Amino acid sequence: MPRPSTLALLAFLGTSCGGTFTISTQPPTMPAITADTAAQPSPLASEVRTATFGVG
Amino acid sequence: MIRTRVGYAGGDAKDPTYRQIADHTEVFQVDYDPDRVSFAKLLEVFWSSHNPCRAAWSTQYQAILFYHDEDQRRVAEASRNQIQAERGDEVRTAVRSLDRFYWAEDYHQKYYLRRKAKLFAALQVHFPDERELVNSTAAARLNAYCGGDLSYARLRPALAEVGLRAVGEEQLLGIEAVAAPPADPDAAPPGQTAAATGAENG
Repeated sequence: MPRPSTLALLAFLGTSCGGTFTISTQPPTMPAITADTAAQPSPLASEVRTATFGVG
Repeated sequence: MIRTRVGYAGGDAKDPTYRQIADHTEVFQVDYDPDRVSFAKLLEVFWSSHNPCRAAWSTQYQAILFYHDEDQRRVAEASRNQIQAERGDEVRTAVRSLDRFYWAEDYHQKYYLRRKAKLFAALQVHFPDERELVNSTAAARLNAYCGGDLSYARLRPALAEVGLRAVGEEQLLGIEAVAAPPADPDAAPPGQTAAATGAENG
């Protein structure tokens, strides 16, 4: 197995001659939620009623 | 609870805003399925969420119950009379007919969810229309979760009900419940309570 070059080792350690860099191990950001089909504005209900309150 | 929204009601002034609320009161409105939760049950939550015998601070911040029809009027007045008998004191919470409800500004709607920018943006993908987003059951559930009124265990199946599913579980679990209201009164959402966040009571 070939030995890693000095440059590759530096890269592996996260440093280089020109400064530092970061090797990210974070996976790509996943959305928190996704739609299974089309997102429904609201689930079906046989009847919907409305109530209005104020609580100061 | 199917949908929630906050706004202004009870006054005569046209088109009130947060800055020009005039004679209106800050209120929250809920759409519910009467097969799953009764109006009387909602009233139990309402009466227990404030001191009905205390005088109102102002018209803007008063406890008030608006009925939408004759059935609600009958139930509302009966519940008020019962509370009054139980307490042996005058109930000062007003019980009135709803004339008109005005939506509050967008930045007041789904306040706790809106503070989680990435989550809110994820929901915007599915509901590009702002009003439709605010009026969705998914937003009501997520807002309740972000406000600390709904556990993650109850959020997951609730999302499935509305055609969404949790993908970034760690991202969702990383959301810390925000229970305390903001210090800036200008940033406070009108009528923001556990019920207004969309907590699933029914």
